[in-house]
Amino acid sequence: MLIRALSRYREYAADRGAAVITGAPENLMSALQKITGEMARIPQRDLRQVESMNAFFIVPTNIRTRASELLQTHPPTEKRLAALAEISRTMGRPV
Amino acid sequence: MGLRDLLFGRSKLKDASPEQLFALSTARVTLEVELGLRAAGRAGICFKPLSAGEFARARTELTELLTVAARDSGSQVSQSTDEHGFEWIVIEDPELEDLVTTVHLVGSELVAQGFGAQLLAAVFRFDGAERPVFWIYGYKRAAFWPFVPTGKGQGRDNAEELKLKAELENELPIEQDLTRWLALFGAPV
Repeated sequence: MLIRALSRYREYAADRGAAVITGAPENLMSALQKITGEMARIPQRDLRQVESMNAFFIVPTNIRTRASELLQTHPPTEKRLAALAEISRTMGRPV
Repeated sequence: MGLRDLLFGRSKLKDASPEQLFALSTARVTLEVELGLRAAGRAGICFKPLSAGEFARARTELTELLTVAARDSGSQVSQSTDEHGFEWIVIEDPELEDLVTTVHLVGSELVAQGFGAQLLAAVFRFDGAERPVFWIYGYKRAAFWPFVPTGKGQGRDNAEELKLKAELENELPIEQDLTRWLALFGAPV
């Protein structure tokens, strides 16, 4: 768990490094949003399940608890985006 | 679409179209040379369960159709029902080109016999990467999408799927609406 915490910390540091070196945190922000956005759009559902339901979709509720965050190697995207926005502000270019 | 349909929010059901299937034969070189993916020699056609009445008629016609398809193409053709109650026609042929041709033939025959609305998807399996890769062809959308199950429950490798999309975008008609990339877990191919 400690290693995972370290991994999450390093991920923030890497984001920070990338933002400072390129001088454009908004580029990384938009890339992050694009990748997670695309992945989130790919469904988990099965074609047959959807066909049997006759397009009667039930949206899965995705509950992300703080506890599960402790087990992740990457911080949640929202937090990375928030951290990047903070860096952007200190660089004098609010997003 | 007429004004009445517009007013009542009705849209015409799109006919199943097997025509874009052949693009997969063309994409074979890229799949093999650049991605190391080889056709596993198996493909499946998935269609919705039929009502009891249709079923009796379909049985005889399907059996006839499969015999003809197998004879004309030289591919192995068999039929099965999966745990969801959906019907599968499984085609085996070592050459991807022949596989695609037989899948196209069976699909067109099903449409000609009036089962077009039942026709859902064709699935082609490719081996050679870390995990088996499936290319799913949706008949209603006439487009392909990649499906890489992780093998653990209902997990799929989205990163790999997006990579495949990027690599083959110029050769395959790929479904652009990612929310329609529905899974087919445990397909018999």
